[in-house]
Amino acid sequence: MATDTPVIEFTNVEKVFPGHHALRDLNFTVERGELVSVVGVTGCGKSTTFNLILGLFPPSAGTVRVAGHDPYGEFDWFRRRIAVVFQDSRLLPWRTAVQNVRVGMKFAGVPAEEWDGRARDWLSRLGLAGREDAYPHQLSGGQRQRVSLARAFAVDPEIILCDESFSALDEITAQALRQEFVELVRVGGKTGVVITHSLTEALTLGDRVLVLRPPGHLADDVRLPAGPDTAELEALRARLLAAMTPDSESESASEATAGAS
Amino acid sequence: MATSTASPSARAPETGSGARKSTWRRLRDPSMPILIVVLLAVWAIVSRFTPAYDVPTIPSVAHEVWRILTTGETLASLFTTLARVGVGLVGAFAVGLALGLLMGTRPLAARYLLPPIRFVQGIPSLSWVIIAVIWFANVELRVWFVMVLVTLPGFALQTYDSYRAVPAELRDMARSFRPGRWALFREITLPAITPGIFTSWKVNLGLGIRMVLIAELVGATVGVGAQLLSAQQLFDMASVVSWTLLLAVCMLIIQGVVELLESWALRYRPRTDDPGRTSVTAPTAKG
Repeated sequence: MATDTPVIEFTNVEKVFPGHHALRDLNFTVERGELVSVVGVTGCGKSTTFNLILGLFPPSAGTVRVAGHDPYGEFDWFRRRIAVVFQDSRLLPWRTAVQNVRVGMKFAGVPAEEWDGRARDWLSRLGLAGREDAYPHQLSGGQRQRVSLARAFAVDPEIILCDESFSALDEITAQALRQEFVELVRVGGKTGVVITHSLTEALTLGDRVLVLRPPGHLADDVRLPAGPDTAELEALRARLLAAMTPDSESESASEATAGAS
Repeated sequence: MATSTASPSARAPETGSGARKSTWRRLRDPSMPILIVVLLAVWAIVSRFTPAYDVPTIPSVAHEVWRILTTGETLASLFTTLARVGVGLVGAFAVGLALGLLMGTRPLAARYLLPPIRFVQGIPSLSWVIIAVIWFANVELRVWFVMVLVTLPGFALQTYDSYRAVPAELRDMARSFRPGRWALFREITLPAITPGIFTSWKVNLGLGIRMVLIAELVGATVGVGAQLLSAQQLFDMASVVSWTLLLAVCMLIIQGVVELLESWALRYRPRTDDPGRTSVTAPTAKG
């Protein structure tokens, strides 16, 4: 992959489902090594964007390029290049923690002799040493999500996608996992895209925040400052909130924010 | 790097010794021996006041059971019937599994196959027996035909329903890694439909044994059904009871083996008495 081309590139993307216009003229890019949050209200097209990056379906119009390739048309090219952490851990209930991590590698075509070592190593790095042989129902929600993270990172992909991966956890667990996730992405030199509906998560996770607004277009693209102070964060929060608010309510939301500050 | 997030309910995985303890507890349960003793006592009392052709005595039945088990010809009848059940069920399962998976993966196949399978399921079993007697001169073919036709719809429909119940979330998770077809089948589809397969086997075992007896009654010279017919013609109630008991015990043993296999295959499931258990089926769907 050339280093100067965007890793993810949406150009005039439209996605229409029967009776529903999910995305309309969506344009954005994500550069190599960036950690980008995509935020927006329910129905703004976050999940559709996520599925387009993943190649689960094609756009109705426009082009989606991931690492210069069409994720839908060249689905298999992305094997071992992309991995996902879902909102719910999506662990196989019939597999133990270590087997769940191994399964991801098996699916992705990692050589079989590497499965066990890598799986145990990643579980250990994520604080699950000693719990390798536990089934998902024997793990807490946070532990299950750690296994899910291990499953994604063990494949050693270039791109990691998170679909509201921390939203179902309690705030303390979610915060710990967010920190670990950011650290793993940075250390591994990965490109990360995090879909979220939480402004706090968007502001603390990445380098940039893309704001989507119904019907699926880019309302704002905010680059986050390094180590922002409280005032900066509050201003950014207000800006993102205004951008997230659907058009008809946007004006009144901006006024309310201005009045509050 | 990580902080521990263990829940109070998180516990060590259940090992094989846990399952063995559960089996041992069941064996030590006194209710079953008590029930058997009571039934034997009632049987002994009733048989004293009724003719042997209505209710035979316990010693006469025990003698007959011993004769069946120690005589080559009669023992062959028992094994013939069990073999017919086995071959019929395996054949029906193989075809039913293939049809169920085909219908699950190909909506067009489901559209054309579901109506005839449901129609076949609705045909009375006795009709199949009569059709088989008219159509086939070969006894084994008759029995196999009846067994397959009667049990196949159950296997096919159960497999189809189980396939449709595979959580879409797990399929999407797997697809995100770009798996091959075999890996997807081996890791997602097969384990997800396994509980349904065991259910269909348990249901069809009982159905199969009933069907094979009816088929043998009207169309066979060897097998438990033929032996029962012979005993009925001789008013030999001890023989009827003996054959019935032997067959019932054999089926209980086979059911037990199937249940053991099921507990092994589904050992990942939390026990119902586990206070910390959570759902092991579909992950919660996103709103």
